[in-house]
Amino acid sequence: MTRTDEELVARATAGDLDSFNQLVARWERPIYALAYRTLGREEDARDVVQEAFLRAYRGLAGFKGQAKFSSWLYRIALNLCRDWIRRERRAPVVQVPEGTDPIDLADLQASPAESVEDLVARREMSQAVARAMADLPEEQRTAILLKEYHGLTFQEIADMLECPLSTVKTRLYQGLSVLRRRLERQQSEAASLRRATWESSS
Amino acid sequence: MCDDREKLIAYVYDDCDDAERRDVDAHLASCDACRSEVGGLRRVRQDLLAWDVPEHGSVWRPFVPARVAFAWRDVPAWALAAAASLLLLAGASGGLVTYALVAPQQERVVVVPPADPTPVREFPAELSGLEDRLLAALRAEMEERLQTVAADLPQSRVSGPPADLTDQLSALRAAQFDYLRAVNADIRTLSSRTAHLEQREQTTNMMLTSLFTQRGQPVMLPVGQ
Repeated sequence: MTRTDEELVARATAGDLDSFNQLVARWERPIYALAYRTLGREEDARDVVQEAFLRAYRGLAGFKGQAKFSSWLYRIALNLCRDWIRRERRAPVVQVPEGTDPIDLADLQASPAESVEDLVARREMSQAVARAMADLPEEQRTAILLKEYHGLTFQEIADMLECPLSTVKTRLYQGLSVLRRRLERQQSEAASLRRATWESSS
Repeated sequence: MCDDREKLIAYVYDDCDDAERRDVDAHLASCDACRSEVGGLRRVRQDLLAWDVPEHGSVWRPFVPARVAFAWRDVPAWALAAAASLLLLAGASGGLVTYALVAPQQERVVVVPPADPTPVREFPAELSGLEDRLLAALRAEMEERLQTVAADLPQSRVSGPPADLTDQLSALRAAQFDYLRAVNADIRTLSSRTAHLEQREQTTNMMLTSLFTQRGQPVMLPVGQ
């Protein structure tokens, strides 16, 4: 029987450790994804994940169900990421190696039907998106992360970030518009480079 | 509508009601600029899907239920003192019984100082008297200690563990968290390295297979692949 988050929280608050373990198993990957896309480094994201669940466990008694458990957990993780960035006094890191080393393709999980060329293209796009997102203001980046990769509604994001609904929509629109211009420019530059390379080699 | 960014973004994310959706559809049918804008935003959303998150092992070490702690009960101070006294008397009685049963079978070692011709048959009486005096002294000392402990305990019923024990338990749990955190850090480092090496090996072999296949050459992989 699959229990809801609320049921698991109630059981965990009553002392059932296995229920909390189930909550962790359910939400560890999304929290890691959020932290990784916010901070840009695997080790830092792991630290945030562990600390987020430790804080969640310690704060379970004070969680009264006023919001969804996932929203509460996301908020803890976002605060930890924000604190990390401020403490380290640096913007999110984008690990982009020079060129595309075939060995680095091991970082991507290739599907059986995906060719090497598709893998390279996907890798390049992933790096381009990471670079573009890292350059966004924190508010726009956070709104896009929560909406695009975690499926939260506008209202849930507004409640989590404690801002008006219209502000969330504005941040999303502005963020996507900036991303659109940068990605189109990057793709145009990449296409020009490929064309120039082909012409020089022929 | 062209300036209503909130309505457009809600339409792009399909997070609007039916009335708003119909309004935007009707506007897009006649506005090239907004239609281009919506198309551009949707392409960006598609590009965002390419941003992968690498696989990772679990960083959380599941909680294991702790051993059941002794259940403290409400025990009055006088009951604690009485129980301790009973235990002392039981222990002393057991010692006496044991001595009575075992002592006669033991071989007495007779030590007769040359200057003291005291007969052997007078020793057991002296020893039992000494034993009685020792027990009485022990009993009096324990009684005094119990009275001291009972006087220190509050008159009201004792409930729950002592405050210092609660603090120690909290400190122990905090130390446990720190220990688990350090262990998790080591485990995740090892898991990450292992997973990364395995993935690199697998993908390299896939690429080699593809290259050899394209060149029409036989595929030769290391044993075990």
